Amino acid sequence: MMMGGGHGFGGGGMMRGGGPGVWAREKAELKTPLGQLLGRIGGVLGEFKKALFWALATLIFAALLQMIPPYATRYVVDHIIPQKNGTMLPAIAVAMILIFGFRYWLMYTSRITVSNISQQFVYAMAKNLFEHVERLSLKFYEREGTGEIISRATSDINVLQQAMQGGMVQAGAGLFNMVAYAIVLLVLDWRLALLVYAGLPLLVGASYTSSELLRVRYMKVQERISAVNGVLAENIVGVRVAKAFAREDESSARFVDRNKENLDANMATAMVQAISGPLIQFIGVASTGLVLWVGATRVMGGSLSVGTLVAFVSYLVQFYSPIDDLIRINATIQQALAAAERVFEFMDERADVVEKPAAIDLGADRPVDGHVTLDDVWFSYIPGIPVLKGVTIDAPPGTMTALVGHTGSGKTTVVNLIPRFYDVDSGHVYVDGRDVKDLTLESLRAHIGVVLQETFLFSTSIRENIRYGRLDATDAEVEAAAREAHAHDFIMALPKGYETNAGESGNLLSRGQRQRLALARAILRDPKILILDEATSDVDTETELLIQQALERVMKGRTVFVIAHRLSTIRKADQICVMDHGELIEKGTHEELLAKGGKYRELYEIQFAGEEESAVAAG
Amino acid sequence: MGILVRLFRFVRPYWWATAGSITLIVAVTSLRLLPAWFTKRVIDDAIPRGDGKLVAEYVGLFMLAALFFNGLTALETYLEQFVGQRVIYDLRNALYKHLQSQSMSFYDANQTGQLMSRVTNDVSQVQFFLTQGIARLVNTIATVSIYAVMLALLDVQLLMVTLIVAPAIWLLQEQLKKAMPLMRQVQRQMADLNVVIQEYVAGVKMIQAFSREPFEAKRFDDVNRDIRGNRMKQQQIMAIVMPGQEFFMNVSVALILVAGAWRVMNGSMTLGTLVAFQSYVMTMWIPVRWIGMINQMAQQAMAAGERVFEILDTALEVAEKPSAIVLPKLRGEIEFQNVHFAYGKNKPLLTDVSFHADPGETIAIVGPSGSGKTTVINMIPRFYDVTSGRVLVDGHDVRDVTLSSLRSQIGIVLQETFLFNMTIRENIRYGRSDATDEEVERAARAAAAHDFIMDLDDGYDTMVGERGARLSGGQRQRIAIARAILVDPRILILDEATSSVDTRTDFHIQRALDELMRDRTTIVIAHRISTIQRADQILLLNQGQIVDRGTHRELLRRSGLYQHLYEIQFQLQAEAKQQLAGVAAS
Repeated sequence: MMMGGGHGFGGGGMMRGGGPGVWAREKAELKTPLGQLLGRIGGVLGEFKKALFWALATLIFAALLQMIPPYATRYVVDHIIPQKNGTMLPAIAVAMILIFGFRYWLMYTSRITVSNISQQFVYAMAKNLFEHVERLSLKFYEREGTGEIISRATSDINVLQQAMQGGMVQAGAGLFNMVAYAIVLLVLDWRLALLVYAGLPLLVGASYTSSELLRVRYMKVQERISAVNGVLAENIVGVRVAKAFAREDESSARFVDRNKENLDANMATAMVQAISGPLIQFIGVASTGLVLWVGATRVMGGSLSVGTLVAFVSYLVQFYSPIDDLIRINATIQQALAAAERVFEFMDERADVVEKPAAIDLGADRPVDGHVTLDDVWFSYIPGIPVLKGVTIDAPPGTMTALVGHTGSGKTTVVNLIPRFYDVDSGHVYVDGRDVKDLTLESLRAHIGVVLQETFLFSTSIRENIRYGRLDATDAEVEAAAREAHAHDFIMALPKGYETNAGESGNLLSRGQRQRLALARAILRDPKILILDEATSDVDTETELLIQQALERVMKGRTVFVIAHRLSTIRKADQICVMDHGELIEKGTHEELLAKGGKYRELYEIQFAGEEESAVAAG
Repeated sequence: MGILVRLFRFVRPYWWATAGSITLIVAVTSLRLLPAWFTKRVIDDAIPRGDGKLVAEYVGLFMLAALFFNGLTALETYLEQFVGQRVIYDLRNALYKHLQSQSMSFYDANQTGQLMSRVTNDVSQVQFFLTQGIARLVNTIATVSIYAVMLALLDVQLLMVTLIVAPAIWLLQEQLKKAMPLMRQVQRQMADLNVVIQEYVAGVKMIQAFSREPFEAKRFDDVNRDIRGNRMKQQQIMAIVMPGQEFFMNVSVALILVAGAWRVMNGSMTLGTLVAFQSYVMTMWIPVRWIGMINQMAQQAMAAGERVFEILDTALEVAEKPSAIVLPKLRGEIEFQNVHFAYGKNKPLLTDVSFHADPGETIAIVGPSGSGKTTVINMIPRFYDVTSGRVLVDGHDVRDVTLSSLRSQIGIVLQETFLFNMTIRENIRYGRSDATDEEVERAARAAAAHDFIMDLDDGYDTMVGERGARLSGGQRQRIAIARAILVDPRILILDEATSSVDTRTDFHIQRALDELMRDRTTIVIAHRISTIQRADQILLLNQGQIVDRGTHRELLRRSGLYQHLYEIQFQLQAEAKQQLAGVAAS
């Protein structure tokens, strides 16, 4: 049992420095100015310019039609009632109902248009976000963590959708109503109208200030939801440990803490809403009172008719009536803006592993040999703390290279650079003499098969999980690969055979069985370069042997990199690279290195001492 | 509606705030009548009299009323959020606690992303309704009731005319019920989306290695597209309902105007009354416009609430009996009596397993891959319940004792080490929360972990990252061992997996484990020769059955399967020995 110790998906170098974890994000702050944020949202909506224009035009028209009731009232009060001539009344009623019917149709069509646009928008935001995040390198995933990524793609998108679904039409209609009534007020009596306008800066100022406050606080709410998501993901995956140690209370406490922070963040927004909403409303009502006072005085002075005052006040009530709605919608919209900022923040995340525009396909001009070369490679996860220090390895086609060394010596990092999971700080990684940076990622990775220590199975059938290696593989090919990986027999023994759901029945499969599925997946891919990152650790001896046999067949004709602890595997390697603290300190065959009497021999003897002790006890 | 009733049960602890909130809504709604009433006084009373002082008086009262009801509104808004947010907080906690009490088979059957979605997305939908919908609903009911009374006082006949449209508005609301199945689907699809993302993050390295980003993007897109489609359909219904409501309200305003004008001309009504009446009706309709929205939120909350309660209603498979006793301090005797186990109707994983371990004994479990070794050890801390038979600890059936008293006396080192995203110190202390720093350090030393911990920049205060990702496999394992050492359990369960540790530490760990196993009852899934040699009894497991048992020598003598398993391992080790000897000789 030799030289194990790979890394989790972080890689050993990550341990130092303790980058920001999920709950390290303490400060809620707005990084994007409102105008810029709205501009970007507008940019996404720009696609629907024509439909949007049509919907807006319809809304404006519908808003204009909504002004008919007060107008009709005024006409009836000023003309029909004084003349006591009711013959016109039925006609007025019918006309009004017809106009409202028309308005209903207008509202219906514009609603459909707006809701379609909203749903397209939300759909596009989610799609763009996911596809962008997909392009980001492992560094991003290590930094952000499960909770943060899931939250932005679900919770933040949901908030956007809620605002779109619940608010946009109402807000749009409400605002147009206000503008339209503002004009009517002006036409009706410009002096009273100016009095109303005088109060508007107050109204706008209060709304703007509270909006900004809400947006910051909602930013915090969304961040807290991320934290809830993070602790949730962790506790669900780690539930077995919590149960094993009877520490459910502790896990629970951690969840409750995050939940409480979310509650507090929500209450902080409630405070702003409680104060700002009624304040804004009061400004509206107070201005109506003022109009009533001035108007009444003028009526008594004879410069205004009662009918006009009644109509004006009635229009004014209509003018302010959307405010109630707008205040509520505004809260949703501010939350959506905070969410949008978070979504855009991820979309702005620059991919650090980027394909060059001129990148060429590996194997486009000649068959791929699988010649891998690392040339003076330096690499660090955190700037200033190198994990690899000038590593040079040449692996000719069809050879096997074993990487050995203590935990944290950089073995996994070396193999992570071949499929370009990360970019080197300096030096080069070549495949068939081409710098991996000059190749398209897909063509590069298409020729590399990776079997990791921890097998990740998707919650689909076992067949689909194997087919993941090559999507166009036939069922027969899938089964052939499974046979080669010694997986076919145990698969057939499962209740539903190849159709068994691997994710849900994860517990039906032992670790060794999952490992063999991963191997089948790699076999199906038929790569020129095969990377086995502790693929055979932690399995029982029989499985180990089965995998070994499978591997020996599979390795033929491929360039293989293996991080393993089994002597039997390492001994067969064409070259063994001994890593120590990020440096390649010894290189050679098993025999050469043993004879050399250096670090390799030291490692070997320590292991042997352990096993000898066992052997003596056995004897 | 059952769902909403159940939701309201969560409101009960805050009945005082709820009652206060409702009282305030009613009060505010009533006070809101005052400005219109004072307007009426100005027009009907003050202006005809030409009394400027009276106008000022009325307007002053108008302002005072406005100031008052807006102040109350602020208080009410806060109270309503206070209740809504706390109910959601409680609901989430209840849901989480119930989730956590579920047995392992529940977690085997449900995807992480699915469960997460219920605690976050579904609860958020309920939250939306509770914090935004309910207050509006109460407001609407209060407004309509109060205004209906006012309108009745003003003119009953005209009120009748107004209410002609009420059935039509009600019929429109019925349409929204059609949206309910769509919303259920959306909630389900949201969970599916969560699964795609969660799996992506968990398997990102594998996905990128296989260049399967387009495939995953398609998985995401399929669900995302379905959600869009369902929401569009749902919005189609809303597009009929929402403007429809407004249409009927407008119709009522037109009818009032015409009927009212008639009455004024008859002289059976004053002009001021008509103006006031119409203005009241318009005010009454404002909150009613929200009914469609509220209804939609309620439907959404119900669809999501169903999913929340579905989890809360899932019976606990491994549940403590009400009569469960606290297990006294253990001596460490373990007995399996004819234990059978199967997942539901799947083929049995364990068949008639019986064995006995005296305190302090070491029982090694050996067997081929998939033979049920892990299942056996899972039965002792009662991660699963037996299908039949009994598991006894010190003579107590594990189903008769409290889970925490059982599990806190069992130390477990699993093959897959899971660390929490906390500091190393906290992760070790997870074994026993009242351990002092010295005890933590001692445990770390015993697990050969102290040295590498001290090498880290922040030592014991280093954050380990998600699932311990910032540490290597070997480092993670040593922390897990330290965690178990700290528990100082009478029973130790070991899934031997020392192979991911490099050789030197492997050796130290073996010593630490040997120390740990001394004087404790140990059940170990053995992969090492030294372990099986020392075991008091070896259980040879094959296809869920104990096919043989005995000491190493006994089994080696009589069991072909055991010999086979042993040889595989021994052969490798013997070859290594030979080779080193050969090199040394040359």
